[in-house]
Amino acid sequence: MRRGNGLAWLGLGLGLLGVVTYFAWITVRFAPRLQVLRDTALPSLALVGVGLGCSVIAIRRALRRAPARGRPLLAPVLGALNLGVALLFLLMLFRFSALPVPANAPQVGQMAPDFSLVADDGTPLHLSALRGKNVLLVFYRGHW
Amino acid sequence: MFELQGLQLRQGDFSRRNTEIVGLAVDTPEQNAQVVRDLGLGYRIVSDPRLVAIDTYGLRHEQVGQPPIAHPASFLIDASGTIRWRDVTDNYRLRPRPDTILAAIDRMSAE
Repeated sequence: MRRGNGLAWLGLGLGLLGVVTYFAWITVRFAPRLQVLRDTALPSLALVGVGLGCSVIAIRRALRRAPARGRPLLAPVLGALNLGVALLFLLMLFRFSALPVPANAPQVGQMAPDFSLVADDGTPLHLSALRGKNVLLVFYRGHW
Repeated sequence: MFELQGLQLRQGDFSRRNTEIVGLAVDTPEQNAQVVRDLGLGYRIVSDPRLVAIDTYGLRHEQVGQPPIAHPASFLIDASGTIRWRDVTDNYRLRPRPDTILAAIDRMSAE
């Protein structure tokens, strides 16, 4: 019945692999090209899901096993650890990263408010001076 | 900041649609110049350290224990200065994809 504990380790391993792969592809190296993965996190979530499935099966096997046959606690402990990692991962993806949408940002159909700011080349840039072509104006959080 | 690189990868597609990309952040012009160099950007980033434009656009994001920054947002402005499409994120992991923005430009041009 060593298979049961092997499955418990496999479950935790898959769960951790799911989290690690997510953090790998949100790095600057991959994120610009793999934005769908960053946005949806689907392959990572699938790994975490399969990992949890392995943990559940491993725990059921361990509970059916006679205590005398050794280490009945290992599968439940690894399973609980896996569940904890999965919950933290889900909270990070869907809860901690939530931002309230600013209510006063200009709406579609309005004139874009003008500004004059210094560009990276040291010259001033007037938004209204760009009339005659389309502008994609991208507010971002900064260089950190 | 990955959104800047994602846009750079498609800059040709934006140029062909007569669309200039302009980045905007609280950083100094020197920091922005560094970003432009490091990421090899072919478009400009403007500096708004006093949050003048950021406040005009209602995009001040207060942070606990750190100076305020811009809430991530993108505006597609047409040749007459009218906003034709926008994306104001509700999750800091998420940014509009270049394909989504290019499709918005194409819809706008078709009207």
